[in-house]
Amino acid sequence: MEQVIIENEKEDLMVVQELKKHFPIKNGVFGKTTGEVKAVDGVSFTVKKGETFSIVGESGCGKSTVGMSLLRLTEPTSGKIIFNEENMLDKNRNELRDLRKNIQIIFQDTYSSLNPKHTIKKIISEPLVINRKMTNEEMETRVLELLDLVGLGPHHLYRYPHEFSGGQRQRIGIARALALNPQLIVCDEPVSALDVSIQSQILNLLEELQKKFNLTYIFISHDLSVVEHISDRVAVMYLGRIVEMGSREEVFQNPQHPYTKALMSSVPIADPKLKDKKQRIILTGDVPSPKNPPKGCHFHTRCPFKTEKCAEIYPEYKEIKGDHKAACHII
Amino acid sequence: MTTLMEIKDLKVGPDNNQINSILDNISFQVKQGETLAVVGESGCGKSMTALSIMGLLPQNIKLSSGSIIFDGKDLTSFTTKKMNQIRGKDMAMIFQEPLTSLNPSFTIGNQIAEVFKYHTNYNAAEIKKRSIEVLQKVKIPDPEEKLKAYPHELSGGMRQRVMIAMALACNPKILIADEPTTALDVTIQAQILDLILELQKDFNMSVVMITHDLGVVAETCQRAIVMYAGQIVEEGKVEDIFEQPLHPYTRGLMLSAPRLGSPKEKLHVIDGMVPDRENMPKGCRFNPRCEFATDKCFESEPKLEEIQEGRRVRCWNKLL
Repeated sequence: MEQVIIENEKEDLMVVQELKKHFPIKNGVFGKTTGEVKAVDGVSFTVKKGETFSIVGESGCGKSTVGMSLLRLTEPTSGKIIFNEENMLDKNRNELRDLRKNIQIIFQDTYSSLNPKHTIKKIISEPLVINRKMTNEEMETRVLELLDLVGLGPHHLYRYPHEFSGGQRQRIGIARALALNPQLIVCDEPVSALDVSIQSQILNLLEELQKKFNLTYIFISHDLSVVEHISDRVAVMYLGRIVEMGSREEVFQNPQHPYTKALMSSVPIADPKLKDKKQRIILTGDVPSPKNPPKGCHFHTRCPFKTEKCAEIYPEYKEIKGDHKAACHII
Repeated sequence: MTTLMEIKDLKVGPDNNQINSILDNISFQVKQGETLAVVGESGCGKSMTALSIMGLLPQNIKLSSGSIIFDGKDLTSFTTKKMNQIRGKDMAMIFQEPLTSLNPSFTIGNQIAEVFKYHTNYNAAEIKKRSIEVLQKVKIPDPEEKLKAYPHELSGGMRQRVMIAMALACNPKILIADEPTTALDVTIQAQILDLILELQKDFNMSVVMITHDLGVVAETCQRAIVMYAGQIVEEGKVEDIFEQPLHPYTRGLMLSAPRLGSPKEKLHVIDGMVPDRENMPKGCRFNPRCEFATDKCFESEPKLEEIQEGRRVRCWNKLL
């Protein structure tokens, strides 16, 4: 009981309210807007200090767009992003630069997120050059310190990204993200491109750093087993909306939304003994296009439990237990 | 079960040097009607194994020794012409990325028809009828309309279904699936894996499932081969390997993947990374990363030794 109270007292670091991102579809010679892709369509969540909040979903559900919007790397259409009690969407460029020191991002593809023409020293020191007034010596000491934190050494300083393996490049990306001592790091599929044995190295590193610097992570991934491993709280997205959200234990042990259930039962479990015992819910069909999402509940076209109501009205969130909630008519 | 394909001492490498082979003495059998997994991380040679079986090795890479006996005939002695007669008919392959393996400028119907044109004497009407049949078999809705679609008009899962339809058009005896679901979402992955298994029963064909995902192995395969740095390090029945992995690498792989439903604790780590082909470590190729390595491991290379029927392992310090 005591622990619950302490957890509730954790401060909110970021509050996202009704975040929307609609991309216009332009057609014809004059680029007339003929429609919209509703990549993110009204997403709200709160991230507490020091926790790992995961957003999980399949491709096209809008999870990466949420990640990019949080840093305003893509401009949200509407909504509020309150970080440290300030609304990020009201800020101008200079104010935003100041605020962004505290929010960093790690990407999935380490080939395209590290400049191939820069040495590791230049890549990692770039945030320092922009945001801190440091002498060259100070900078070098800081870069070496960062390299050491992520398990690389001084001999890597003057090498180029192509000389590193995928796992090492991800370490460089992490070092760069850490350079300014951020409070929040958005991790956009940081281990999806890595082999299993390297993936576990990076996941452990992320957890160590979190403990050391009391970091908050927003972890975006499609891999449920990774998400279960690393998260404190989880949000499941489908076609631009969060369909279920709650603590890791609640969402994984007691999933309520049919989509969450189907998603979990689809993950192959690496244990042949469970092969025949497992109840599989196999969904039919594909994810509908966000250009033209189905009316009512977005999931009703694939849902095995749908009713007439589902095709008409988008369900409200229902509270299940604590902050565990799901948007479905049949719960 | 009878043996459908036997691969013996396969050695594959760049044509100019014999020392650093990509595949080093790969030997295994594929039995009639079974699903065999080939597991390993990137660069371990699992895809190269598949390509050598199909005779599709890149130009600068040659098969330097070994034999591939399929249906009593040695494929390595076949000419391109002879290979073309059995490729797509008796053995077929599906790839990871269906978008790059389908031709973007031809319709689905056109590409499926090609298989029939090559291997059968059907006339146009028969070809169309058969094409619709195979699309129905892979459960593509509205198959007649889909014949007119181009690959970009289909979703990833649908494209993979088309690839499977093409591969199964001539009822092959063996299907080689190279990471067939890696590019797909989990819910679609479950659909495709189910489909492959269902079709396998219908056709009584053998499937070689090449994958890096131990979950896929556990749920779909009967036997498995684990590869590391161009060698087979362990082979056995899937239940046995998961119950008691004998090679430290296999064990490490299993421990390091987070598993759904397991408690939140620190993940096991295999230190370091896969060695590159130019600087293979002396002795056992896994020795720099192995937590059980002894002096012997650094001096001489262990042989792949059969410890029970169908159970092989390449290690000096087997985890018994």
